Order: sequence, then C-alpha cells, then structure tokens
Amino acid sequence: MSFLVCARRSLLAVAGALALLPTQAVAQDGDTTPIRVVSYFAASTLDPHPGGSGWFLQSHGVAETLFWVDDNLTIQPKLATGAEPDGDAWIVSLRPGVLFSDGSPMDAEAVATALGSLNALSPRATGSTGAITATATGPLQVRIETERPVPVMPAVLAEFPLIMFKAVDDTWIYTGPYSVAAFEPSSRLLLEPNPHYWGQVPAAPVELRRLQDPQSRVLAIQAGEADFSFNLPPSSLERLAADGLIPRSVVTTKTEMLFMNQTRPPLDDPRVRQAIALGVDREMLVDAVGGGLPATSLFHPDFNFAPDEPLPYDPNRAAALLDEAGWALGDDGLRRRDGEPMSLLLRHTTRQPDAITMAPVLQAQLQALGVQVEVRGYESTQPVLDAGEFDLIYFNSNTVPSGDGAFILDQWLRADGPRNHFGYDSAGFEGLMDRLGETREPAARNALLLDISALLEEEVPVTPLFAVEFHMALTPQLADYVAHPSDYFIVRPDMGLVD
Amino acid sequence: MSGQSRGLVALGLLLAGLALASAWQPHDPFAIDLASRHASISVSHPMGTDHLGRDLLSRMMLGAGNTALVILIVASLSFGLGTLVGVTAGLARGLLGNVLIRTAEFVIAVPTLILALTITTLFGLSPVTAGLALGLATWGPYALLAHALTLRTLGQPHVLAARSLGVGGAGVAARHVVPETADTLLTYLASDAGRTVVSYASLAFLGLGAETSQPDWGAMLFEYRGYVFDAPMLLIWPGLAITLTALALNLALEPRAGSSRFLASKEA
Repeated sequence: MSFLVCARRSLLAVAGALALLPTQAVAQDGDTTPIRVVSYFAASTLDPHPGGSGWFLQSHGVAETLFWVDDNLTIQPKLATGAEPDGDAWIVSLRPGVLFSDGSPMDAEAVATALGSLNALSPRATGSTGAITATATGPLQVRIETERPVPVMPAVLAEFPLIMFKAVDDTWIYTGPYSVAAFEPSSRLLLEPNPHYWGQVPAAPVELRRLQDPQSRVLAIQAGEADFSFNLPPSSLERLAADGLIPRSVVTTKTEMLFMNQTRPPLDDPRVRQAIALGVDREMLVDAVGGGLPATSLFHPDFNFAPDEPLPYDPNRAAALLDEAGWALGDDGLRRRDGEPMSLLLRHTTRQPDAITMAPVLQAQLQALGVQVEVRGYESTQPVLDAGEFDLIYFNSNTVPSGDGAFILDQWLRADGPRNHFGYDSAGFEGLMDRLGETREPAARNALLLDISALLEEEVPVTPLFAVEFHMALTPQLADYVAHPSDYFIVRPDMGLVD
Repeated sequence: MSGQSRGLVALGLLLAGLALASAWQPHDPFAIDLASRHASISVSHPMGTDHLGRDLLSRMMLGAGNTALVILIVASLSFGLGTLVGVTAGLARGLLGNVLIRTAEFVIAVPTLILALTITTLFGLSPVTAGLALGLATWGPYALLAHALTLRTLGQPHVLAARSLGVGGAGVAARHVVPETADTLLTYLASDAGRTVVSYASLAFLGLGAETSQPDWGAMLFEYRGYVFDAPMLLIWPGLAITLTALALNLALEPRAGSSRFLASKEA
C-alpha cells in the first residue's frame, strides 16, 4: 500500500500549499496569530434579520442573545439577568455594563430597538410569539409584550434569531466576544477580540473558514492548516489521534427523526406507524453512523423533560401489529393486504454522509418486517416536504434550540404548525399543547412534556432515532476547549492557544 | 470476420459478461453485518467489505448489470435515433433536412451531462432513465455522421442509376444508404461505448443514476467517498471497474484501417 501512503502525502502537501495563502493574509491583518477554525458553515451575511443569521453569528462568537442554553442544557441569563411575568407581558432586566463592540452601551433603548427591528424584518424571530412589542421601562429594564402568551420568556429570548445588535448606517454591531474584522460571505471570517466584551475578552483572534466537504476539513487539520476542525467523519478520528491531534465528540441536542406521512395509506393507520417505530433498531443505527445516543424521545436524553428509557426495539410486536392491521406475511417475505404488497418510499438527504449510511440500514430493518422500501435521495428537504412525495422521511434538527421542548412540537406537529407536512392532527396532542402553553411552572411543564412524549410514542407521527453526535479535532494547544452540545457556540471566548 | 464485426461481438460479449455478473453473487449484496465492516480481502470476501459489512464483490457484480443495461439503452437510442434523423435529413434535404440537422447540432452543442441531468431530474432516478437521458443527449454526432454518409452514398453512380430507374427514397434508403452507412456508424457506436460507461458513472456519482442504496459503480463512488483515506479500497474497486470497462471497450472496439466499407473506400 506504499503508493497509497505516497498519494496521501502528496494530497496533504497540495492541501497545505493551497491553504497557505489565506493563512498568510490573515497574519498580516492581525497583530496576533489567529486561531484557525474550519467548520461546515460560515455566515453568509452580517445582517441579523435573515433566517439563519442569528445562528451563524452566535456560533461564530459575534452575537449574543439575552438568555442562552448552557453546556449543561439549562436556560441561563446572558445579556439579561432575569425575566419576570407582568400579566401576559414580561419584564426583562438587563445585565449592567454590557457594551457593543464600538463601546456604546447596550441599554434598554438599544434592546427595544433591536427587538422592534427583528419584529418588523425577521419572521423567524417572531415564530414562537407572534408580534413582539418591546418598551424600555428603565435604563436596564424592558417590558416585552407578545401577540401570543408566552409561558417561558427566557426560552423564547434564548432563540438564536433574537440576537442583540445595533444598526449603524448599513452595518451591524454586536455584543459578542469577537467582532468581525474581515468578511467573505459563506467563506471566511476574521474575528478579532472585542475589547469591550462584558465577560472574559478572548486572548487571540480567530480565522474561521468554511470547508463544506468533511474530508477537506480532515485534511486541513491534518496538514497543519487548522487548529480546530469541526464536524468530522467518525472514521477519521483514530487517524487524527495517531497524528497527535485531539479528537473530541459531543452528543448534541440535534435529533435524527423519522417522520411518517399519514395523509395516505398505509401510514394513515396508527398500527402500521407503531410497527415501523418498533421495527427500527436504534442501537444498530448509532453503530452504523459511528456515534450518537439512541433516542428516548424527540429531546436529548439529558433534558429533564426527556424520558430515561430508550424507545423500544421489538420486531415481534411490530409483526403482530402489522398482522392486526391486515398486512399478512407471504411466502416471499413480503406483507400484503388485498393482494397489494406494502411498499414505502423512504426519502433522505444526500448532503450528509450519515444520512446515506442510514438509508440501507433502515431499509434492511423494515424489509426484515416484510415491508418493501424504496429509497430515494434528495438535495433539499423543503421541496420534498412541500410536495408530500414520501412515506417516510428522515433528517435531523435541533429539537430544543432554546432549552424548552415546546418549540419543535409547535413547529412540526401542531395541526396548524408551519412545518407539519405529515398530516398529524390529534385532539389529544392539541389539548396537551394548549395546557403546555398556559403552564409556567417548570416541574408542571416537564410533566406535560413527558406526557406528550408518551402520546407521540403511541400515535407516532414521527419516531425519533438518535441524538446526533458531532466529532471534532483540535491541536494540543487547544486542549482546554469545551464543546457545547450543539453547533450554536463553536467559537468561544475562552478558546485560546496555550504554550 | 471484419474488425467492425469483431468489435460488435466483443461488445456483445462484454455486455453479456456484465449482465451475467449481476445475475448471481456469492453473498447477498444488501446484507448488513456491522461486525464485519471494513474486512480486508479474504477468500470469503475477495474484495473485502464496506462500512456496513456488505460484501464488495457481490455489490460490484450487481452493479455491473446496471452498467450493461445503460450501455445497451444508450447504444440503441443514440444509434437508432441518430441514424434515422441523419438518413432522413440526407434524403429529404430542403427545409426538413435543415431543421433535422440544426436540431442535431443543437443537441451536440448542449453539454451531454447538463442535458442528461435535466432529463434525469425531470423523469426520476433509475439506470433506465439515466440510459434514456444519455441516449437522448448523445444522438447528435450519429445524426451528423449518418447525414454526411447519406449524402455521399446518394452521389454514388449506382445509387444515381437506381434513382433514375425510379426507385423511391425509401427504397434507396433501405437498399443502399443504410447498408452502406451502417458499418461506419456501428464502428463509431462501438468506440462510443467506453464514453458511455464513464458518463453513466458520472451521473450515478451525482446521485442521478441508481438509488444510493443500490449497488452501482458510480453510486458506490459517491457513497464511499468519505472513506477515501480510511478505507481507500472502497473507492478503488468501483473506480477500477469503470476504468477497465471503458478501456476494454475502447481497445477491443477500436476502429482499425479497413474495418468498414467507408474507410476502405477512402483508402482506395
């Protein structure tokens, strides 16, 4: 295999040479050698209003929200210090001493202006609340009224679209530990420490580059052209460790989910949906993709509103349910009803290697039940959902983006939810969600969310598969890096090169 | 046996070999065995196993059938449609002939892969669709070649004599044009088959051939691309199969001097 080793070395040399140019350019921009980060995404704009902008800018350490979900998955104040209900409205107290990166104060007026601008220009920012009206009621106090009652305002204010900013002419200034010194949309950002940051000011600038291909991200750090490479294939970790790099993995709040289209047979029958859910071996899926935790519900198992026990794998019970639903197993191993074989169209994205790996595994597991499965990949999820061209479709999403479970349920499963493409309309679910919307007390909310998970396990509009694990690699100088269990906080203020 | 006939026989044998390989495999190409993933070459698994523990040889053999099917469809469609359009244009001349030839030139001007991508996207994914797409995207050169050969044949003294004796266009086409142009067109067809293998693999790599879960050489390159450094043999086997098949087609079917009446007459 010596020719393979030579080929690999040659590729690394080429990758190194190619990556040299931007690195030198960055060194000239800043006074200190930047920490070089490669990731699978980079901000496409510095404007806070477009849909995913808040995620990008927060993840890059540029922007912040009033509250956040910390590393232990609990909602904590960030730019705010607390929030108290005031009738249907909320009074939010702001952290004193917070400055924007231009040195101007982030006071109540600035927060009210930012929220007003997001309310007017960012539909995603108001997705959980309807219209937002924010009024400064003191130098560091804001009263927030919402079109729909909000039981847990800190969770809403932890949503990434609600980042705080100040508009100056055609530019935007944020409060995060870094400010943007150079920007190439969707490609590269040079981030310099924000000297006015209210917390620990970062020690070094950061150069963040987007490399979409996972193998390119592996090559970049292996060739010494990155200090931190985020979202790597698990198969590369052993090799990177052998090269003296530090591999790290974190189970995230993203959940891989298998949605079922119940607008058409055979998945309009809840027994068939239950059978599919019981016929999926989640342990095997996790093993196949090389990481993750078998799902206990739609939520990361560490949330206290998530059940403890993994969802059951019971092919015998699944077979019995299919028998009961009239789908009899034939001599050819296929189930038929009225002479017609049970055939399901399974759709998945071809953009994520894990999704491609999972397809034959799911196909084999369902075929073992006697269900014929046609697998078809796609480039983009939304057109497939809009067209309803699927029986089963799987993808992953951060199901608890703001520390509260209601968000995903409202969006994906409410009968009138904007992302309910599956025909799920359950009186029981709607009733529980209505109660959840009126409940503020945390323990009562947790109990309701557990009830909802139990109901979803019975009605199965979706069956959660596993909590997605992210893999990354760092140089020894970044050994102290602590990974957040999501991709919402990749560039962190305490990230620093140590000797 | 002429060179052109030998080429066609070789093409037939190769297609038959590919088809036979897809008819039987030593293991179930879909059987997942995670405990045996990335197994190295052995008697039981002569090409090893992939990241899901599936037997690579069995998957390669099943994938060969798709390649054979696509070569067959593309060859039939591009040859049949191209010859029909070219001969008709040559016989009709005038406005109809011009329209047909301009259409063929338009098809040639559009990049093959772009046209095939459009057709496959519109009509769905399968080796059959991909074959039809490639066939519809590659008939242009056959039409131009058939047109030129038709015009040349129509100028031959014996064809002029036949026409002066009252033989109609269809008769001339059946008795003279098609038989006298077929050799050259078939030689071109044979040499084009290698390109078809690579084009289909490209489509499959882009996710527009067989389903990603189906064994298919191009799709396997796509599926296994993430293992280029950790398990390179996963890519080397299908890559080698594509390269060797294309090479074999080109070498075995390479037109030789005197391999067709057209070339022979040119030499004379």
